[in-house]
Amino acid sequence: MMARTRNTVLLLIVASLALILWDLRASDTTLRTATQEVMTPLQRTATALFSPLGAWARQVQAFDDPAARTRSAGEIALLAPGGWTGVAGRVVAADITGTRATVTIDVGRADGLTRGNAVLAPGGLVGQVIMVSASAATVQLVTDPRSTIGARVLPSEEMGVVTGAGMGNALGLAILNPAANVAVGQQVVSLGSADEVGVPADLPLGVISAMNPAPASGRAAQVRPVTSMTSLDTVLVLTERR
Amino acid sequence: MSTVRDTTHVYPPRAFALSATAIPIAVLVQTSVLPAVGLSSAIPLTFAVVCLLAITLGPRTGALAGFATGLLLDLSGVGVLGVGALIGTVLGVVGARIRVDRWIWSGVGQMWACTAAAAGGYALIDALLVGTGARWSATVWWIGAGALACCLVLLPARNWITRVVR
Repeated sequence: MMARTRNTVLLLIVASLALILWDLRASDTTLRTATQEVMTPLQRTATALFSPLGAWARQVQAFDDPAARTRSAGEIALLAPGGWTGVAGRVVAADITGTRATVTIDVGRADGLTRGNAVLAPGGLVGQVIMVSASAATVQLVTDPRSTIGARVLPSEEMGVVTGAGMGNALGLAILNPAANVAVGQQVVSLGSADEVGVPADLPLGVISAMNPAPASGRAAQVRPVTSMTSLDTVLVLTERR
Repeated sequence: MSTVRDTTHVYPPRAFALSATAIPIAVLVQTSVLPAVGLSSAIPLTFAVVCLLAITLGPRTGALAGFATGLLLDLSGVGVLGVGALIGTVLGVVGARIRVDRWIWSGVGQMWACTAAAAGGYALIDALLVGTGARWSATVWWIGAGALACCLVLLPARNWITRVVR
């Protein structure tokens, strides 16, 4: 009996290590998208059942702040910048820890989503689509430690890179020009790519909340995101430019 | 007062059915219900369930349940595939070594330590493999307090599980 247990455990450990090696080498998302297809309907149901409780709790927490209330898909669609079409999706699952910050939304390839699409919430940019299945997608939030987004600081137009730092931490902003004239309170917006594929330019990312005092690190700052990433409900995915 | 776990009367099909029901529900609650009600998905409910199954069903079932739970967590998220399965397997074996007596919360300290260590190890290994480094400010609180809450809620179900799988 003991030998049987030992063999089972050894087999499972070897299988786990093999999976780790395979995933690090192949980075294949087939298994994940298949799991997402099965889990998303269940997650959508669970979220629909329990989100009224969460919405109520958030309203109690911020009873006089209309921006904190749940928005309808119609209201969310108005967030799309000029020339872009968007699809509203609901957050049905979250994986937000100190090392990861992703959410699953209930719209996918069938709704026109592709990898790299920008995701907006009231206030501005909250993330990018990193994995898509037929009816669901995984969004990497700007607070994810793996997230890097080109940015500009207004009004000086200084360029920089915004990186995530995990749950509960401000975003990091590395400013390219060491002599840049930036200060606390200034707005940070997305840089956008030249052909405007993926993240459009000028989407609000947050506001500078503190400057890094260490002279050796050059010009670096902390940025407060546009919204709380742990209370996202309905979001808008920018799918294509008209 | 300490008693040795008796797994000789476990009826395998019932143990399998119970695990196959509890694991997806735990993953669903952790990834969807907790965030929907304003709590964090960092609360290690799934690992607490694995630990409970290991305590009541023994190391072999615990390891199998841990592997399945970790794999489902890996597939539901964007972390490195296999890390959760490895952590779950080890948790299933270690959790089965927790000795409990008749008190309903007997072993809660060890169960909390195992659950929190598994959740912390899961985040740390994943971060090291991907090269992001772990940011622990808010996560530690959610893992520690969340694991304790899960253990306190789940551990009294031990006797019920024992009766179900006979």
